[in-house]
Amino acid sequence: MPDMEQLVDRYQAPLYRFALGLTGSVHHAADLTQQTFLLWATKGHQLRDATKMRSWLFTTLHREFLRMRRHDTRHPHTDLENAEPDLPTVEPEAWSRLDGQTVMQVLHSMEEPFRATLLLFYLEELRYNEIAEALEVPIGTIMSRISRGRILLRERLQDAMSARASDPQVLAFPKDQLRKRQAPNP
Amino acid sequence: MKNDAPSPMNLAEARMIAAAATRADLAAPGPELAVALDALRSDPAEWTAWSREHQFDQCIASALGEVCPPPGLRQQILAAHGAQRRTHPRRRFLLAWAAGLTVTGGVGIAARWLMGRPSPIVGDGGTSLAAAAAHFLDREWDHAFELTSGTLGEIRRFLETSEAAGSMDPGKGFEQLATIGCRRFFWRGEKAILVCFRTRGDKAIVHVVSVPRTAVGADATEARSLFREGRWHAASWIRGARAYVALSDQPLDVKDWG
Repeated sequence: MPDMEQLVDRYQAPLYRFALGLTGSVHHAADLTQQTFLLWATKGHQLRDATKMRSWLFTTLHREFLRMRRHDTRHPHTDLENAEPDLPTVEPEAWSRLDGQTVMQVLHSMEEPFRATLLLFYLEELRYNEIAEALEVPIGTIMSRISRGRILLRERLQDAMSARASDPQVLAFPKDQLRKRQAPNP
Repeated sequence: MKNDAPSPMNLAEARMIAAAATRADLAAPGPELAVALDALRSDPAEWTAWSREHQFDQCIASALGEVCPPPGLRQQILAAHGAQRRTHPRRRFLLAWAAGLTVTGGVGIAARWLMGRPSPIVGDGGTSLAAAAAHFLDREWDHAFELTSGTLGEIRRFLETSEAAGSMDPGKGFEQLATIGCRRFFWRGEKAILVCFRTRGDKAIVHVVSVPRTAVGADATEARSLFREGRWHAASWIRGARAYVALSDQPLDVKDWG
């Protein structure tokens, strides 16, 4: 197993990004990241399979996030049907102009099941089966969420980019605008 | 034995496999992914749709990769980790020790013998004791003390009045140090004691393990020996009828137990 310093150097950034996408708060993201490493320091030795370390870290961070917001009674947990294969037409070059902050804000505006799944998917640290393990849901649910979540993310990013184009003064996307599209019912 | 020949793949399967591929997978596709990509390529509409989706994914992944943790978070995490180690001594250290010391200690001794590692003065028994102590300190973070106490005198009284485990007299210097707690356990069938001390100024923790002198071999001497045991600064010595091993993550100062 790597020592703490190596572990922090390797996983600090992806864990922080995951936490930031989940919480939308720089402070909460830093706290969650730190808490995850401290939990590793106290419980990581129980992990016998070193290959599970990445999943363990992301699972732990997600659990801590859920614990942090336990007081929130609204936990929409929607298992979605497979998404339709037809995607809205997009201009590919437009996506390359996206910046990290915009993507993070739009991801954060997404409903919980999509948010965590898409974050883990786009962080490119875990495979489908590991994402399923980290979020403790079946792999089919993960595939469904990614498929459907991609479409929603694309739509919301288009909205956000349109809003910014029409009003260059808009530096941050208003929540109501980001949330105007509701998640489809299962 | 698995047949390496790719099986026929329909477009739905190919779409699913390609959609799950990361950038790293696509940079060096395995056999299954290669077949899936070929299947998609065979249908121009599918290939265009997948390429567009993949391009979108890459843009999102790249944009997310731009987000950096706040400056100082790394140091904050490492500092918190250091503080945690100082304030939460390893509680389960000895349970694991009792359960596994004989086996792992034996393996450690054998390995070190084979590798011809130089031994400290306490001898093979002392070496293996230090190796085993370091092994478990590295793996067990939160052992529970039988007695938590601030002075060696209290710990000594506890040891003397409870089931006999032998005395704990590592040296005069240790009388001056604050203690964190103690535990008893068995090592090679002998009763052993662990006492954790705080050094002056609270700069470090010193873990002192004591066993009967007879447990560490007849060639053990009373001279102190300083050496490294993995990442630990270690020392071993004999005093009276007992052998001692000290481990700390900070350099040990022999004046502490002079």
